[in-house]
Amino acid sequence: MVDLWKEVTAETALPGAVRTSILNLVIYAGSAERAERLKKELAGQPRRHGSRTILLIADRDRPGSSVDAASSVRCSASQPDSPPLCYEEITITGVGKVADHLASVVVPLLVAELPTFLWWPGQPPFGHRLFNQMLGVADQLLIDSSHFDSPGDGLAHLARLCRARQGVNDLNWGRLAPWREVIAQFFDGAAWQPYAYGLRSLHLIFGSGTNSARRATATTLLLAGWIGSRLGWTPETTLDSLVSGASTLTVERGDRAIDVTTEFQDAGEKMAGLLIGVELVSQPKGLAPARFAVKRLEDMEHACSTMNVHDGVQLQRVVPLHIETDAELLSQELEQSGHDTLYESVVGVASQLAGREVWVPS
Amino acid sequence: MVTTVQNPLREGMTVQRTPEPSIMVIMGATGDLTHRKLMPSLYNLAVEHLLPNGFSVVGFSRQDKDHEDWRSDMRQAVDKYSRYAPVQPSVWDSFAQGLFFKQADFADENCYLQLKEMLDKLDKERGTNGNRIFYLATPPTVFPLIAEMLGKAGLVTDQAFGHGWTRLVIEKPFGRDLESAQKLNRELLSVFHEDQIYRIDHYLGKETVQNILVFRFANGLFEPIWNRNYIDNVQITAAEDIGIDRRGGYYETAGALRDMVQSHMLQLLTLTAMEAPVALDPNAVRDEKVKALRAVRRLRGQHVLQDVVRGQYGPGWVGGQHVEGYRAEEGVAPDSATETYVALKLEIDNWRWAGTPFYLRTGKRMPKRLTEIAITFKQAPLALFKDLDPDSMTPNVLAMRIQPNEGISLKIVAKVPGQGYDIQPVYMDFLYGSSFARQVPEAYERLLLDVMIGDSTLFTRRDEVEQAWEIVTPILDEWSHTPAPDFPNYAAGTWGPDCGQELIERDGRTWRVV
Repeated sequence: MVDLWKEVTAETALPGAVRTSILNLVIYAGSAERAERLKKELAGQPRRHGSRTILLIADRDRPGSSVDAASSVRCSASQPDSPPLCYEEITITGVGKVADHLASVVVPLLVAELPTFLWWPGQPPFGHRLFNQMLGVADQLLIDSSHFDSPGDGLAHLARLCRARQGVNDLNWGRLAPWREVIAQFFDGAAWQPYAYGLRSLHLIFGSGTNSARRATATTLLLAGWIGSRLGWTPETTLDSLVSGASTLTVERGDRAIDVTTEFQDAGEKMAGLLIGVELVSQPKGLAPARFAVKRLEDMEHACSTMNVHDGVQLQRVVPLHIETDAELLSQELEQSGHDTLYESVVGVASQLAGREVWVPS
Repeated sequence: MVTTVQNPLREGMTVQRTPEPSIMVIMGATGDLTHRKLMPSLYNLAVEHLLPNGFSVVGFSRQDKDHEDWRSDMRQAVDKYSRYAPVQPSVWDSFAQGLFFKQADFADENCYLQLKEMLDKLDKERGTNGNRIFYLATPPTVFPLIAEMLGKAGLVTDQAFGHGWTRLVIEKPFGRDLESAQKLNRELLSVFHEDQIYRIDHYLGKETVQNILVFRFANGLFEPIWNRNYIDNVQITAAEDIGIDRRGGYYETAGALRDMVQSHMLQLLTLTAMEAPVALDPNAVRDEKVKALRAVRRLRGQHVLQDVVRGQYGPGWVGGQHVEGYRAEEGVAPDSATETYVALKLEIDNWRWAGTPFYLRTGKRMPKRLTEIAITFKQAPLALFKDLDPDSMTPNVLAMRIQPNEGISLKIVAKVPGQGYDIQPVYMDFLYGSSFARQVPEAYERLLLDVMIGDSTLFTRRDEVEQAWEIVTPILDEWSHTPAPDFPNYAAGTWGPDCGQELIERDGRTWRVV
């Protein structure tokens, strides 16, 4: 590694190259094909620069028991006129039995004193020895719940994990951040606050297509879990299977039942399973009913936010709602460390909405 | 006091400081500030989902325009100056629905009554609940008139927070000297309360300036050595490679001391020198800044001539281009005695800083654009390495770069690998761009949002302004009855006149090579 850095900083190579010293990023790629795909996806994307990225490949089926490693230094110019920023990339392939003990290979390679993020694409094998070992070396777990095979079970496992030392970052939660921001904005200001408490229904619209039901389920649970956790909703019925078509979930607040419904619309394969619209209807006691809606526009880069209070204010505006790539989301999540207490309470409620009994942090 | 709206869906979110719906009235809405800074920043906030629903802007200006004319002008301005340019048409269209224009004469009471009618109507249509911000993007000479007219028209409520609040934003200069600053404050305070007035110094909106507080008070490492026992001197440099950029009329009445030192540079000094505030709230922070300013020794008489030097650029070369001297700039008198460079040495007479000089220098047409605060630590006892080249024994320097290449670097010395004990300086460098991927917001974005939220931490309080003038006014007084140096006394593209070097060299120190 020292020799690699000498090459990089040699005057003829990249003068002024800066070696970043921010974090260790360990990625469990599983297969060599997925590792290559991830490398391509990450290369050239604006991302927070880890000091060292370690990609793990588990090749259990190959005979023998060995470890293969390859390392390189990757540099990119973050901004014009700025020095190139460089980080190290190490690819580890565990062959045979070693594939289940990769943590022992990773630990000596971590840069000391830097936080370690473990990114596990797909649904992690919660409870499996390899996952537990890898989690043991990490400070932060990165997952994407929209890729969970079984969202209800996955979120329930995450709710339990939230009691652990590691913080959890969910790319799907990050994907929902602009939606949450636009929805929350409806109720900023003293005049609008009662409408949050007076919600009567929540309707979510998703793009239809491959795996859309699975992705939409995780998103429905998180979004309803978020609003529910803030407003004290409790489940009356549960969403214990994947959403499909016009699914309904009913929650309660006090003596009021609130319907959570979903709908799928064709918006192209790129939008399959992604949120394209949210509608909330509210009627606080003594006030006229109001409708709040956010709907993606056809360009899929913007959304129209509409606020319609009967006999009163009618406001409409367009806000950017860019569909972020996994690399962009990853970049944002790598800036968030520690426990996200909001997310932790949301996955607790989301698990309950999915019909899973979990311990919910108070 | 800072209010946070009690929206249940905000609880636990990263962005918890969100503004209530309001109307911003920009007085002087056709001017340069509105075009270059205000409207692009408001649009940027809209792109980042930070503007509240129903947020509206009313332009109030002399020019005869209708809503559509002004919207069109503003769109061009955003296209030119926004960091999100080119404009996203759909976002602009909905943002522009909230832009309105009112042709007005600042001295005509009827115009303010018509404005009131317009705002009341917008409140009903856009749910802005009587919350109003009056932004005076006008020459400071009309601040008192506008404030008085706003009051007379019933456009100013008593509320700084709560329902139907009113806030006033003004831009520097806040007076020309202590007396005029006090007069301006009295006039504004006859209509508004102090907690309704937001005096903008855009330096305070810069991320790196805010980071000074984080750096000092969130790291255990530096605060114990942040005093006279360990620090030899502090150098604050604010260099600009540009000239006065067609602002000759203004600059002739201001000069570098008023334009830069009284505001931006003394702000940097206070943030560097202040004690830790008891809380991160507007008054606690500003109390400590005022205390630091009060401790700055006032320079009078002979001390002004000794510790303050001034300069004016002549023709020269900057960035490979030949540029005119100051006196040849548009709107500048051919025999102008206005300073475009000033360097001064200030002492802070308190327990922490007694005996540690603060050197400040600022100038136009310097070799490059750069603002930084450099803390030079006292030299280590070097008896151990006395046989080495004394030039290699440089002291540790902590440099906080405000712009460009925002970041912090620490100079230390290290042994050169080999048999002997050769020593060379090396740098530990933190660059914002290498650690954080997200874009740094413009200073005005942060400050405009703070006004909407009602957080005045990054704005200058009345007593802070007056304390800063108490430091600067005696220098101006001394200069007013002392012949100006033989201007021009430095060539454009250089680091200022010789007397600037002599100011620091006579103390056995040198300006940092930046």
